[in-house]
Amino acid sequence: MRWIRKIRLRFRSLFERSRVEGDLEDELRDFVEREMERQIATGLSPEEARRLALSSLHGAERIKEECRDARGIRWLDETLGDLRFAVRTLQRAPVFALTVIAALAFCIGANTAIFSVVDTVLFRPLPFPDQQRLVSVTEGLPAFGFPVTPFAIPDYLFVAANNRSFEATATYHTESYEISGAGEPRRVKAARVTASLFHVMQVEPLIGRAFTQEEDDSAKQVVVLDYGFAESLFAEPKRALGRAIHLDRKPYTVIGIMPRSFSFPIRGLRFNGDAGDLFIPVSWSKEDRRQSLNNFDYSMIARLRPNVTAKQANADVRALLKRVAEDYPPEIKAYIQQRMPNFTLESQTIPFREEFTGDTRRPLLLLLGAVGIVLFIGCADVANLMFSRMVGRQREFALRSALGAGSWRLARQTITEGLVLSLTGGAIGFGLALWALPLLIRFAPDNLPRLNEVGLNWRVTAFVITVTLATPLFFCLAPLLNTIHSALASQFRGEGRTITQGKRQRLLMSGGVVVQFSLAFVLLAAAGLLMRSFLKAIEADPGFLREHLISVRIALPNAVYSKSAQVSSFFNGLLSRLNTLPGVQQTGAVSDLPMGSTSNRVYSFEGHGITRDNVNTIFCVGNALESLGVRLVRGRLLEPADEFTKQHVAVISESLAKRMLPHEDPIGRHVKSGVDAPMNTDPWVTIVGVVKDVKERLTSNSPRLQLFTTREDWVNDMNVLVRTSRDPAWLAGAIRREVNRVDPSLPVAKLETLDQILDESLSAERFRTWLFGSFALAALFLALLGIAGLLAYNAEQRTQEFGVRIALGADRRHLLLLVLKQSLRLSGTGIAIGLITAMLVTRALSALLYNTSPLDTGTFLCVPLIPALVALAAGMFPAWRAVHTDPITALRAS
Amino acid sequence: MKPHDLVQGTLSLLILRILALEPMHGWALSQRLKQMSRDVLQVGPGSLYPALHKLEHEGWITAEWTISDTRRRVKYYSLTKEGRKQLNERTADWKRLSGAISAIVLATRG
Repeated sequence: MRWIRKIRLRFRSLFERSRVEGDLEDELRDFVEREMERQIATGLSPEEARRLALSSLHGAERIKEECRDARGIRWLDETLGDLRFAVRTLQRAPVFALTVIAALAFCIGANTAIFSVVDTVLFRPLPFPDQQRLVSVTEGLPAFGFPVTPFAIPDYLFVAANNRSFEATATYHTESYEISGAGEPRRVKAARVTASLFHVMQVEPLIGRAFTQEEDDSAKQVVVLDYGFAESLFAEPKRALGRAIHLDRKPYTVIGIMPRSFSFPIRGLRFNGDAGDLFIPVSWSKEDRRQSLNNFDYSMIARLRPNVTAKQANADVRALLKRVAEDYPPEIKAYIQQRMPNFTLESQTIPFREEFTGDTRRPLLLLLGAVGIVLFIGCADVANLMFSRMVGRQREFALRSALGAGSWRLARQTITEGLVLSLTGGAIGFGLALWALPLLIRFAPDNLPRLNEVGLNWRVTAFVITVTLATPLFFCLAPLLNTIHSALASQFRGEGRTITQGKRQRLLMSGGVVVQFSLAFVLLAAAGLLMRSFLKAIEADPGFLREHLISVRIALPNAVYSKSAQVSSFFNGLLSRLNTLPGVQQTGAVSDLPMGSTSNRVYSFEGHGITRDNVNTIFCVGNALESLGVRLVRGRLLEPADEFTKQHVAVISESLAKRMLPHEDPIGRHVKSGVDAPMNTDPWVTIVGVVKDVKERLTSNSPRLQLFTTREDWVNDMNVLVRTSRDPAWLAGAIRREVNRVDPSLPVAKLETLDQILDESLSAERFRTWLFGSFALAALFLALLGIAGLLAYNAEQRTQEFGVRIALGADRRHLLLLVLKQSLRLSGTGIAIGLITAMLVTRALSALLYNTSPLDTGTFLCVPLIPALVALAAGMFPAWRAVHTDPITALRAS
Repeated sequence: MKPHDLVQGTLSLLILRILALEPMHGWALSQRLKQMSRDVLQVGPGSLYPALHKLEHEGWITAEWTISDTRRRVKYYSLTKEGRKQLNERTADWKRLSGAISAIVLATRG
């Protein structure tokens, strides 16, 4: 029971202060009285006895203090005192306090916001049980130019059935479906998944149930909805259960709704990286399951058995795929032997998280570094402000230490002051982060995974608290050690008049400003490079005419448009209707927009073997290439009539022509999809034209192998292109109307101009350029604050000196130069160091730069001017003050 | 002898030892200390009370307020079970230590 008694005593000491104090008083008085009685008993007079008794108690206050100390409450007393003192001191210097708090709030807020994004995307475990056992498995066909691909169905089935590494395996593939029967018909992303996916992820539907293996095998038309999607369809997700919805005009029954936190596939995955609005069984047909060395579409995810590593599983899967390749049907084997002696079937098993953090890791870490530098610069600011304030207080400190305050006591006082500042700044910064996070998420690029999970959680809170508590230590320590040191020294020197700064301190403060400028310069240089690269990307030529071009994606449901002729007449009918609209110049349709083709094939060139790399294949209807405005190099573009002639024709990109037919005229040559093997019954296609490359991304410079050909029978999902003579936006309504005249129940997706699409394709670049730019500006501003503070402080220290100089007839211009020179010397040193540092570190950015060298001359010539001008401006005010010092006032003040 | 000259921690040992006899208040304790040490040890309130409060907080002694015959509030200290254990341990320690010191300090010069 000892500890209970102890706690009770502590409590009493803390919360019944007056009673405890009264008790102490009584106890000591009792002692005095008894001592007095004893003295009287020995024969002394009462007065004498009283005097003696009291003298034995000399320093009653000290005794009380020591008793309080023994009770362990002195620290609380003093802390409260320190707090009161700190708040009072800061109130007396409101400009100082507000500046520091604002700087800290900004730095802590920005760091918190960026940290919570980076932490969620890169570091936080996935929200699935035992997530570290989830792995992603891929195949690879390097001989075909696909080093990494998702799985082919028969290969997956073999691995799933024969592996010894996985507890459970699953595959998924996102496809676009038309949904009807619940609100307006529209397109949704459906994840076709094996029933086992829910076991692998170990997540059950929140309402209802998941589908079973039997339902998957027997092709039952059942669907599990994403929570948010169910909410958008039925308001109350519970109401969705049992309802029928139509996917591509076939009825599906809703049997379950996933929990709100479940979002799958995760955004930013290398393959199938679109979050599903709903989940349907894969229900593969016999044909699907047959080996055809084709359709590598399904992403595989698996849960490792306990104690099996990804590496072991990798070896296991590789061995299995070797067997798959050995067991290929004879005709496939024959053709591989004949055409591709170096054919191999590769595989990779990696932790699932790595599947989507690969591309985002570097930019995010750079961003975190940048915002960390801003915090560092901010802290240096605060440290310098503290420094200059403490010099002003040196006399106070010397006096107090002379009166017996220990140096620890003085240190604690200062740290308390720092804590008051940083806690206030931290609290405001936290609020800022709360406000900024939604904005940050809104402007985040599409490929940033797990943004739905970003928020303030305990990890972020711990981060804020750590930063908030660590900063005062950082910015108080140096000034503090210095001050205590010199306070003690000056005490012995008996210095009484103006206390000027010591050499060491001047070095420290100037060093701080130099470091700030060099760091700010590095950030400015990085932001400058990104900005330059971004501007170049915006102006880059995509390879087609981006202006006055509108696109709308139309997917015809298979259930209704089952014959190729139906699809053809739909698109041709629609195009001829659109052609009659006023302001329309050209129309056409392409299976994929030229920037993002999903159809990648190898081609055989008659007499020249196959392309080693993938060729982006785009199927066209109408005047597609003319509408796009791709530039013809030789031959002709595709024409509407090409779809209906017997001879198949194609137009290839300049790069493809150079790659395959470097020394001959490509016009009239024949190509065929796939390998020219006896089993390949695809027709020969005649090349009729060569066009300039169309870029895959605005920021890519690699040659693009492309082939445009007429629509193949299976293509029923196309982007209708309309080139207009004016701003195309006003045509949107008319286009929509025409689509619905041809098929009233067809959903029409958002109409976008190619300008918008290209603009959105730069969202990642825009995001990081903006953030880097803002952080660089913030860093510059904080560096400005640092140098302005230091100069103002220095000028103030020298007010008296300036006064004397002016009184003695010094040239005022000379004084002006004196202050400005100091400003330029500090910033110049900082900029020089920053320049060298930046040249060494901007290489880390090179992967993010487009057509811009990490040592871009223009940037490195322009960027130094900004901080130099800022430093000059910062020097102006103190310089002006110095020049206009009134000698009389200056001298009187001292 | 001034209490400062006492070996550190010895004062607590003395207090524990005396309180082991019977519960008593601070003044009585100082008197008993003086008397038992034959006037060698005179511990003033400046050392005594902080030591008492510290022991109380350690939980080795406990205090109780009573009203004396002269109608004064008096704080009586007494030993706790934990305090008795401490006393035993420290007494043993003291015996060893003082024996060792004596052996060195009082050794006849060879």
